[in-house]
Amino acid sequence: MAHAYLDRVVLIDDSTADLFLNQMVLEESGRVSQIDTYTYADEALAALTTPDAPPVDLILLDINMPRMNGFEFAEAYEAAVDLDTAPVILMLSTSKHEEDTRRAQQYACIRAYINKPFTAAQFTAVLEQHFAPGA
Amino acid sequence: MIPSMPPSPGLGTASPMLLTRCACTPDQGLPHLTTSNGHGYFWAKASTVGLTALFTSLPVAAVAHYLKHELYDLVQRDPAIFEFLQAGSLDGIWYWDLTDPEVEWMSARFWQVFGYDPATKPHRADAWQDMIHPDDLAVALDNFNKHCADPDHPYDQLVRYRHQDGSMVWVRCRGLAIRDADGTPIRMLGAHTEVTALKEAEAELERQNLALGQANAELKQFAYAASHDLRNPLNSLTALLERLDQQRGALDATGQHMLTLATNMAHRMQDLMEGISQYSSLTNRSISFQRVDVAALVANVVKDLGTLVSEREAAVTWADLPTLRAHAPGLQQLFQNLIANAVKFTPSERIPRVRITATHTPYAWTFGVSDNGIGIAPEHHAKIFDLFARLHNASEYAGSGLGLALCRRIIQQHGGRIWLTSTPGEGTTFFFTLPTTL
Repeated sequence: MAHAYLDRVVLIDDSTADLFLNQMVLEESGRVSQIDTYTYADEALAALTTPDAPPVDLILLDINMPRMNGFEFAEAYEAAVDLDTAPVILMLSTSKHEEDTRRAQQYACIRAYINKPFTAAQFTAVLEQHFAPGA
Repeated sequence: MIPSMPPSPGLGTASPMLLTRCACTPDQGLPHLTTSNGHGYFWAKASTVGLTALFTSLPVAAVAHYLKHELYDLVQRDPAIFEFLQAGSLDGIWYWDLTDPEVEWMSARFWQVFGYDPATKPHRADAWQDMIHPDDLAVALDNFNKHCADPDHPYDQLVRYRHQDGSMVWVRCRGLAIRDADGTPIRMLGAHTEVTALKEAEAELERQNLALGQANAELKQFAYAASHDLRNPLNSLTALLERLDQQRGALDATGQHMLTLATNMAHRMQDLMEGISQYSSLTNRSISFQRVDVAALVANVVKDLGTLVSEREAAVTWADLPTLRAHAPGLQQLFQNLIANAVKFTPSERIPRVRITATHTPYAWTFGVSDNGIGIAPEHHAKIFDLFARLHNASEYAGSGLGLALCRRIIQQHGGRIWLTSTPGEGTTFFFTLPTTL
């Protein structure tokens, strides 16, 4: 299978430790050119929805965050962008609560719900599922 | 307040049991009472032989006790008896003239219950109408109309009155329409029973229930926070320590030792979080019961325990385990914890032998999980089921201190109980019951 390369990945997580760890996973994969990190979802939303914002391939989104949580971000983001060309959003959480999983499924832009910690194996699976040629 | 007594013998005008005639039957020498509906009654001072002969000819239910008859007769003859009965069992009576609805007689007690001097109150129907709660008056009037139209519709309701001191008095008000020959109600007899203390206790209970519900909800919220919000940073911490471990070589011996200790602590913390999460999810969800083949379930548990059992070469055996109704995931967790404990708390030089049995009693199955482990001293038997109870430090026997608390919770959800017997140094048996009525 041909390997996909991502131009730009956005990480949104209020935990700087998680941002650091997830960034390491992405960097070590050697498949990502540019990584933007945000500790507040509202700041990420503002940056991603400006008219001249550079295109993004993948967003890793935490759920529990102050100011704007993951679900609120998803709702605002869906309203602001064209879903056909919107990047893949992966929701990351430690939560195993069925309610969160169900809720995540209500957003078309959220393509997968992944339990932390985010690992190299999970990233490989995401690349194969959502970014393989023809996928 | 207008009100309903069940037709009571001796008081009601149409009572089927009313005595009308007393006659002696000379051939048997027994005083014989006949009733208006033709059934016979007997004074029980008669000879046993004669009574037996007569009683066999009558349905048992038709034969009243001689004291009952005496009493009903007495009530009719002696006003003091009726006075005693109403004063001793009621908190006021009223008698209303439906042919002249402004006229209503009320007993002294009727007024005293509401803090008034009976002497100051007229025997008029409008005397109490501004004291009763308007909502309750509407209910009472509705019942009154229905009872007048249909004697089978009871006049019986709880109503609120305002006491002279402003407080609220709860009264159960029952009534019975007295009818003329055509069935038209001409009088209404009512009886009050004060139930304020009962209603206040009920309200207090409701308040406490509400408070309990809130406390419980907060506790659940706390458990969720404990298992979720704390787990997140802990997982990150563990991941960071793993990253650091990949660069172990860059640390000196002391640094490496500290990294090992920190990693152990993080893992221990994760075990605790896992335990709390299991405990709270078990507490939060309403459980459902289905038929469970316990032998198959235990076989699965032993398979799942895998390396723990095989590393110690433990012999886990069972016999005659039933199929019964239970919460399968709970039961699985229960056996998993008990068997894992049995193996874990057996000295390393000993081969762990775990035996699972079940005996049937009329309403429950009693299960036993026995081991040949280190045993538990009697003084610890009660507290061992408490949350976070641990008898050993972590370096000796790993554990969260939640396993047996979880077991107790599971058994409580089944309406059973759990206990143990143990000989320190030789072994322990945990017993638990599962009701067969689930």
